[in-house]
Amino acid sequence: MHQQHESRLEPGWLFDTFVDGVYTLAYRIVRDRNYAEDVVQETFIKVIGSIGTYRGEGPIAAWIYRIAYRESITVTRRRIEEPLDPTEAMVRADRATKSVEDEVLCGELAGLLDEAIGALSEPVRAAFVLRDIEGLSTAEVASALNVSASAVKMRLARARESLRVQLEEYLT
Amino acid sequence: MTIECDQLADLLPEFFDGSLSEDQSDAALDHLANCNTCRLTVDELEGVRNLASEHGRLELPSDAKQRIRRSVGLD
Repeated sequence: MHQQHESRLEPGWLFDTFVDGVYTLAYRIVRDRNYAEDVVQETFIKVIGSIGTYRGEGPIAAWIYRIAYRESITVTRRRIEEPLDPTEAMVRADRATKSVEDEVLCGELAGLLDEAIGALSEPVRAAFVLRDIEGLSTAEVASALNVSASAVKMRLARARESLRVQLEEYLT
Repeated sequence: MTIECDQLADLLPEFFDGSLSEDQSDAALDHLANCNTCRLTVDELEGVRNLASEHGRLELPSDAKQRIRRSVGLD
């Protein structure tokens, strides 16, 4: 049991286990591939750098997603307050064109789902991504977003109803 | 225990979490058995959850994964 606990805190294991989930949350919040990659990098720098301070007081997933969510919010605000200089913007646009969102959002249905999720407010979107896409429990989502379980349930109800209305023709 | 449509709507988060009490669960299922509108809504909401779990997850491209692994000191 102790050995299993130790291996769960091994940096490589944490990266391999959570990298796609962190990327999913980051992309769904910042809505840009390059910025989402920045969030992934910053998240794992912080996770690996502070793993010694994690005392197992809650699920490791909630702890990692809490860091990732904060990074996503920080990047989103920075995008608004400090637009990229033109050279950096061109470099990023070029990278984005070469591998575009099509690569990650393959298929029409995934694209429609992406639009529908993107139309949700940020707090509602985060709760939906963590609960219904990443499969965290309601308690874990509450811990990751630092809100009450009842707030998570309210946000989930709002998200699911909004998506139900937007995607109705694909659901039956 | 019988419930109306608006009461069922209030129970849906716990219904999907599977955390309703036995009485509440029985009342919800009983209502759904007799209300086509709510049954359709619940089916569609279940469809949203399935769609999200099947198509909502993204995979970080492998080149970016390698680059970030190196940048955080793992390779």
